[in-house]
Amino acid sequence: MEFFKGLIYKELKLTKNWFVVGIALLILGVVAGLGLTKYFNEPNIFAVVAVTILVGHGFYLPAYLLHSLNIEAQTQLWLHNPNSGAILFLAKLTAGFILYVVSFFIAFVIAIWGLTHAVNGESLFNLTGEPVLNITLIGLGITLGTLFLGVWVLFYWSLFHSLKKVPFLHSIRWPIVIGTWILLTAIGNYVNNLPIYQKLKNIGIIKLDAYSIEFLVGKSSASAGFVDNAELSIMNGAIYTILVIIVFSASVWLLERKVEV
Amino acid sequence: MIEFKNISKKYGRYSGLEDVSFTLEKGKIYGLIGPNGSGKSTTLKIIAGLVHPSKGTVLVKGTEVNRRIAKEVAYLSELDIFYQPFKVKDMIDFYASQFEDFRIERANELLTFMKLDPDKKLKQLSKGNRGRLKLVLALARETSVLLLDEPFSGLDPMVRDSIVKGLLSYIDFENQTVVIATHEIDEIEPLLDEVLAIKDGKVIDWQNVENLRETKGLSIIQWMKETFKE
Repeated sequence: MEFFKGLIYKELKLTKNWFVVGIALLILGVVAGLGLTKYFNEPNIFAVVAVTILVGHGFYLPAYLLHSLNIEAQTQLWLHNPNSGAILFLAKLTAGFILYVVSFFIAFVIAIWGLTHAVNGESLFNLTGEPVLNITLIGLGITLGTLFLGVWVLFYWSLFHSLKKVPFLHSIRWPIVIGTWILLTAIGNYVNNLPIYQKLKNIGIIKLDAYSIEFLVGKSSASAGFVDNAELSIMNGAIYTILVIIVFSASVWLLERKVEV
Repeated sequence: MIEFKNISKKYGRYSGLEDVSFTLEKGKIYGLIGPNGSGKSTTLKIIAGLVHPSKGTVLVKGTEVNRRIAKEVAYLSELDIFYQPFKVKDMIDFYASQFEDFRIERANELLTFMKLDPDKKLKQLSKGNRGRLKLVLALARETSVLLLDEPFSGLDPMVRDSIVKGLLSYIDFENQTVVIATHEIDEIEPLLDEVLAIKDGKVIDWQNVENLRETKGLSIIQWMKETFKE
């Protein structure tokens, strides 16, 4: 596993500044949110900032991967490596995920601290249901979301750079990538609306009514997480897992066979 | 050792290489000579598995080449960009973690030989020292194939001299196949066993350097001028 550790270390060293800037922006957002909350004496402002920061972490891994891959794309010499494309991509995903977990944890702690203690000592934040389970489920949802989007970033990045060495496609790489995205989204929507897919989704349903979460912010209230009658489909999860594996494999294939130095 | 079988590489309408076939043997140093854009870099990248031929097959030690041939092939790129936040020693450690045949002791010896400070950040290195570091990374590996793409490009005579000395000291003349792509051959002329002239994606001539000197009385530069005259 030395090779994997080496790749992770390289990743973390290359993206250290990006991570620090991310944390700084996060703290800046929180401080600005708190400042505005105090200035206008409106607790909702901070609640919105806190929830935005948390949900925004859904884009953390895609943003990280784009940053890291664009460093490599300057030369593509990272491909001079005896390890498989899957390992190279997995190292990036793993490093990005480590930073994501740290950033998400910091965001969560700051948000909860801010919501419960920072604004005039007033109790602004209240969770109904099982708080730990609620928070875990929300975190899990955002985490799965960021991983899902991250794998798609690998695919579109590989597609974009596969077209680089084909002169007549070089100048229209962006339209091709956007066209591919539109096409795949349309196919996804079509499949999603098929009766057979709807039937498949109904296999292995877990009711999440008990896990709803509610933020009580002063006299206002805002729901987050799972609304009443929410359901989780195990079959849907399995289908999405297969989809992620297919997209990841396609990205690796493009990297190995089409991306050039 | 390295076999090119009817290799073509097309970039749209432009041909990078056109139906090129040759075999390079173990224990020899080859010079790939030609003007800019002739196909030298493409040839090396294809051997390194970093560019995919449009047609034909490339074999290294009997194995069809793909990107993972990096296990057998050390490749020094013409490109001059490194990971900016890295120190010299980070680069050494990274290579050691990726390539099983990378020898840290040898790398440290080469760093001393090339007068490179392991604690220096890459972005603080001069172009000459980055050129030296690239060579350290390539020569610290015990590979059967060593590919050097324009190792002297843009470097001053002192750096060139240290690179040639590095090659003389650290190439395994018995077991390695070394291919050096360059159009600046002054410094490496004494090293070369064979020279291939490439022009417009085709190998237009191939000479044994000793024969060239003894039978034709030509140095490589004289042969090059004759071969490439318009």
